[in-house]
Amino acid sequence: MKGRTGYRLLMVVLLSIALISAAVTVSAVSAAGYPERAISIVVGSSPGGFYDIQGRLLAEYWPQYLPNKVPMVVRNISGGGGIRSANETWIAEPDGYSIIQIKTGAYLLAENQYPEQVKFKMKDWQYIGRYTQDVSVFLTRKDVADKIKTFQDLVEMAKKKPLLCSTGGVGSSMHTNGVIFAEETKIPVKYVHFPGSNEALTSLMRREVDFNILSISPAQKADPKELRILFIFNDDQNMFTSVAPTALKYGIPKNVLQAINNNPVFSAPRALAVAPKTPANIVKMLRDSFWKLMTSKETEAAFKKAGDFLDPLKGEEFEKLLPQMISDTNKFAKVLPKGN
Amino acid sequence: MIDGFIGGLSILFSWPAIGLFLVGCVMGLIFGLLPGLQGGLALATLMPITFGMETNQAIPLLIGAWGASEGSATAILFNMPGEAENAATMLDGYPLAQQGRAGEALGAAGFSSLCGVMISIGIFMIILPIMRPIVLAFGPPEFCLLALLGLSAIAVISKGSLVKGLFIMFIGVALAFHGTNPITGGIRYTFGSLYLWEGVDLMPVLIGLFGLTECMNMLSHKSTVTRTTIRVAGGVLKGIMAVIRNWKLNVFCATLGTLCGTIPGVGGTVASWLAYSTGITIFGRGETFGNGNIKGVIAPESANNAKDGASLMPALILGIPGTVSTAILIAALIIHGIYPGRDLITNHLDLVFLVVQCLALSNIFSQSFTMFAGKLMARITLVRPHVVVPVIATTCLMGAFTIRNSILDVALAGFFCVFGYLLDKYDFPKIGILMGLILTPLAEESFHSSIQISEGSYSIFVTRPGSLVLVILILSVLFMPFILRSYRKLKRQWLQKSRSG
Amino acid sequence: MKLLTRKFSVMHLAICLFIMTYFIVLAFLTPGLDSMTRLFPMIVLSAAIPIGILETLSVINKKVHDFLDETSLFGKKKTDEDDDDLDRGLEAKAIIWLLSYVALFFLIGPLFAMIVGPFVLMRYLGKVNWMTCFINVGITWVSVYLIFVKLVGARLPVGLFFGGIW
Repeated sequence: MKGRTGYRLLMVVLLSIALISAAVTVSAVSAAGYPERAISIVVGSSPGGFYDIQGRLLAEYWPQYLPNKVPMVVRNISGGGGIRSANETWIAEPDGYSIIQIKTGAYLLAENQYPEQVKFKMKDWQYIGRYTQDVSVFLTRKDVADKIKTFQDLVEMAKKKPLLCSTGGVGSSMHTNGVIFAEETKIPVKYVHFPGSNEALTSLMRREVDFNILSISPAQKADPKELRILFIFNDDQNMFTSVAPTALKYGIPKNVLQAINNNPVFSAPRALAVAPKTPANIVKMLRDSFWKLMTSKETEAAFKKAGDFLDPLKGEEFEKLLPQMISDTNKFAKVLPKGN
Repeated sequence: MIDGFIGGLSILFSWPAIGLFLVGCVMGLIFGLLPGLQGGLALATLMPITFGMETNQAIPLLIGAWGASEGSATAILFNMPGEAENAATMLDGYPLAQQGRAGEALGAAGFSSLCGVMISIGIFMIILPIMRPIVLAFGPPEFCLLALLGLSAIAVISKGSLVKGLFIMFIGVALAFHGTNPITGGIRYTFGSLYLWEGVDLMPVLIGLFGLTECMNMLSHKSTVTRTTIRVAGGVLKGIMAVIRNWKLNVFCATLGTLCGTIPGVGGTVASWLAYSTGITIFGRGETFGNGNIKGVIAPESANNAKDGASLMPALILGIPGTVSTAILIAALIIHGIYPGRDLITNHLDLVFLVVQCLALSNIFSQSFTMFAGKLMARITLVRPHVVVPVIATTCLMGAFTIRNSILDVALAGFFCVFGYLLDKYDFPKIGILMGLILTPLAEESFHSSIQISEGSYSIFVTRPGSLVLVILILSVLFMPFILRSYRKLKRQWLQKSRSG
Repeated sequence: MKLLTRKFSVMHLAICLFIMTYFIVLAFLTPGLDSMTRLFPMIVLSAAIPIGILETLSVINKKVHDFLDETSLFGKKKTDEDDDDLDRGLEAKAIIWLLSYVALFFLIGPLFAMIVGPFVLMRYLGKVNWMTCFINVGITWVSVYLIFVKLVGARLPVGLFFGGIW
């Protein structure tokens, strides 16, 4: 009886191994056949957020430009402010099936500030390209906007009492944007942190704070009854004519605006990359298809419909900008307070 | 308004919208039953599919999935909430199942949930024009005190002494300290591990403490979940009648849930616990709870579903998502070029009504399923544990993994399973751990934000009217056991005197 | 005053001491944090440790236990002593099985673990017949795979045994 039981158990184990092997595809990297299965765009935040929407839009429209037209899916790996997703992609198989969505400024800062936690090297990713970067705006309350018509008014107001800026948390883009703005303009600012950008916006509506600096897309959706975009941190008036005046028109000195916009933590380029040892022809294939995606009217329309915009740059050109970005971030990291 | 209402209905009952709606409902049902898979994840999974659809088709699919995800069935049958907000239902729901009254509990849960969402939708329609000041009246000081009120209430109403309740709750509070504090920027107790940077996630703890612990309980006992030979079939109608008899409790808890849903960031878990603690205090005087009192099922279920309807208000009107599900819903609308806010109300009122109607119908679908399949589902409690446990344990462990795609969450769930089992053996109210883990981040983050707003002054917690009321409530709740103890002592002494006199 | 005046279980005391150790370790690490970050932990741990001491004392001392018991509003939960249905042998097997199942997830990956773990429980611990085992494992495996892997998109690790990493 024992022998029969043992035999049965062995048959069960062998059968299950056979079934699983049939179900699960474990293939060696085959550049000639690439891509053979779904490609993941790895997003370092939870579903539904700003970056997640962008990732999903890319995943929707990209496959048509790939050979074999394989589907693309978004994989959300939240944790460590996106660092976990980057760490996992860095050590994953370099087969071109995991493309990481890189928040350039945030990751450069993390590499500088948390070297023990960060496993990747920003200069060593193989970049497929940049698809957008932030255009930020100065968002304030209606009653404040009515009082400060020019940059000089803003400076005078801050001299009486430091401005209160709401952020989505220490180290968030709203926080770093505020710090960069305060550093370059020399305006005294105090920060009120919240566990997310939505709470930071609500705080502005509740009149608990004076302003915040955030990306134009969510700012445009803010309630115009309560909130106003005072100016845009962009010197191209043609791009956002209907939204608000540019910072230059508002009165911010040109050199100050340039210093702000040149900081990669502020401009927050959003790029896509694969792990360092990914075969060169796979990288080329992805770059070529990416560029076709970026230059298509359909993609532009989809991003515009979602209230976003494209500002593409080829991977090779983006890589050339990296050393300067790393240097600028390292300088900024020294002035960014850890904590409030 | 009427045009918008009719417009919404005509969209919903057209083809293929109605077909997509039903597909969404079925998906939502499946996600609600499985631990680790919640309504928000159902939305996230469906969102890419909707890209190529018209908005009129996407909304029924998404809202159908969200509204139909319902975690009370597993809370009642297996002491394992499908979602965190169903945790309060377990306290009385599972003992009812153990007494062979699972059908009654499922009927009560289903019908009170349905009533809850209908009441909140009704309130939504009425207060739509004046919603803004209500939403904006609650700021960080109120959030902080609300969370502290919830924590105090849990410590007091847990079984066993107040000290025991606090002791266990402090475990949950301490667990919540691990990781990064977004308000102060400090990183605490991570022991150099990136896994702990985002803190201890709620779901693996919930799965371990309740789902897997219950598997251990089932395997350790000689009989099935139902420890008696009482018939388990039927009773659904009895549960529905219990809700009708306790209509005041239902309406009270639904209103409380609606209020909690209106305030972004409060969430269904706070709503269900507040409803449980206040509901049973006001409407259950002299009764015992935690041993299978049907009111203990009605109160939280009514509130946590009412919260869904109400959470649409800040999401659709102010563009402020209060929950993960509404955040994904807003994202889905934005992708289709529909922006929440005045534009939505002014130019797309039919879409607003479509969302509300889909939510109402999806709840009818899922609660009807819970109620009428309750008879069948209740029979699961009679199945041998060695057949049921592998299914539950497997889905629990997979659910724990899927939350953050992390195998370490599986280990965490395993640890809390053993820990939770030992806590159960020695009369520790482990629900306190859960509440500590849920409410502490809200309390701490709001506390620090309040101090930053007031630029260092603590008076912000007593100078605002809402905050002052909450401070008084917290003190009352904390001192209630001692007042009660003194009262009982005095009563005993008086009775003794009158007998000897 | 005599301390040990109550009959207690060593495991019960061990649980209290384990929790107290956790609180003390955190308390030890707290002063190293900056002032605002350590504020809440300091307040909470300052209360948690004395309460923990009280609770630990109530396990071993009758007077303390009776005093604290009077603050309970909703009565006591059922304990093991009241539970006639509990089998200690089954209990030990259940705990070992579950911990082994979790370990299998790490060692051989979820896809294999989902077969081996349930089979062992049903066949060897529960003496369930082969047909029921096959059907149960088969349906569970397929359903979990379809929902979690195909629909939700979870990427399952292959397990340490097969060269996978965490």
